[in-house]
Amino acid sequence: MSFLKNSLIAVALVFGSAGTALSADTFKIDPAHTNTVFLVKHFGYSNVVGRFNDLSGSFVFDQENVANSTVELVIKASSVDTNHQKRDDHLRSPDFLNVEEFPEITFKSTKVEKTGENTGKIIGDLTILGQTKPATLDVTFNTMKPHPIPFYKGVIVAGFSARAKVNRIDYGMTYGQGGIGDVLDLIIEVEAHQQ
Amino acid sequence: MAALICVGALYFVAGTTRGKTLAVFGIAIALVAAYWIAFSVPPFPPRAASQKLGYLIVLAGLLSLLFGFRPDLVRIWRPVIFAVVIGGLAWIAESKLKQGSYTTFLLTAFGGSVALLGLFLARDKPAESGAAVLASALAMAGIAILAPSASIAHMALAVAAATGGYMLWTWPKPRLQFGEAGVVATAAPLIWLGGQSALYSNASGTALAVACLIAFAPFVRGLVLGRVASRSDALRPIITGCIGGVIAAVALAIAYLNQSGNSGYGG
Repeated sequence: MSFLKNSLIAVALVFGSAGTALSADTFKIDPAHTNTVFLVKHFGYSNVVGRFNDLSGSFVFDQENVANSTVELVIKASSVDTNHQKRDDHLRSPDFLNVEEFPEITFKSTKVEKTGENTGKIIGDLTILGQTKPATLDVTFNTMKPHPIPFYKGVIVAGFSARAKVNRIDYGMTYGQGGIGDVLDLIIEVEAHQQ
Repeated sequence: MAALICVGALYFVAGTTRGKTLAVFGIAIALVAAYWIAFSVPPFPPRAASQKLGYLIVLAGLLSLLFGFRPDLVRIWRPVIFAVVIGGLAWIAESKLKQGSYTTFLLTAFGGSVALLGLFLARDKPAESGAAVLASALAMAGIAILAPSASIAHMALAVAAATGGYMLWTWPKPRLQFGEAGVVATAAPLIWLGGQSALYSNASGTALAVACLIAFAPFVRGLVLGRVASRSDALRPIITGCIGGVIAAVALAIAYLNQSGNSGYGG
């Protein structure tokens, strides 16, 4: 009887926590299932594709009132990876990301707007090379549900896809203008675990 | 070209006496122009070291103008140059110092001080000082390219070009003075660029340290080859340049050996 009672409490807790995910909940980014990718034009020939391998952060997601949601992201600039060691060293140098002087790229939301059934805009302050400028992420909410794999013990996972355009010149990253594109297409795919 | 025109214009406009000491201000004008053309006017307040460099070059230029007006106040100007150069390095190193990382800053400050001492020993040898600065700037540019950091290399090459423009007025026939005005206009920006390289790029610290010794090329020329070359005004800067070139080659070889991989990346 005691076992049954405890089991019922456990089930109630699990479903209870799933239920509360519908209100404002805090999520922590899962680095194993988060990708930050950028594309930038290279002399008009093609787009160089790169990624930042270290993005961390958290967000508060209120599915019922999206405007209450907030996001804070931190990218380690030195984690830039374009699959070419020499180019990555150059990207880390003072010509581009200047990682020794400015180790972090940060984004902090100031406003979240719902634009469609599963879409929204996250407007916030993007800081690159110590310069803070407003930036907008176009976000698609993919899903939020308990993780189906037992290893995760039923944790609620939320998934989002974000897209943005970032003009590097706005942040004083002027090297290679004319050859290397001014505007980067930014793609962020995020999975985050409810805390 | 800008330095060639500015140095010549200052020499003739200011008169042959005053123009001799003021002409090096033309180097500073050329450097400011080179910075603004490449990077535009930096924002205020500047955040990055490269932006701070834009203001420091202007400061160095103004000081070279002041020193050019009163070249006789050597005992005052030398401590001022040391203070400005080290203060500028500390400003450039601000983010490192805030992180509690002092070692690289102290080594850079020491290297800069050594280079300044070397040039002070040669202040009465304008073309030789110019040759030493030229070799230092080319070494700095090469080290920065290998780092790789093209923006630092660009400014180092601007120092080399501006110094070359100045030298065309005072070599082979000596016409101008270099003095403290020349040191602050050329060496100070180079030391700040070296600091930026050491602190924020992959530049070889050993190569940069060796490059600091190029400033002693005029002194070494006088010490080793004084008798051979002392009679020829035209020959002395060439020998000085060769000595500086040998030290620069050593610095570049070290930088080349220390660079990380080489897989054909060109930008």
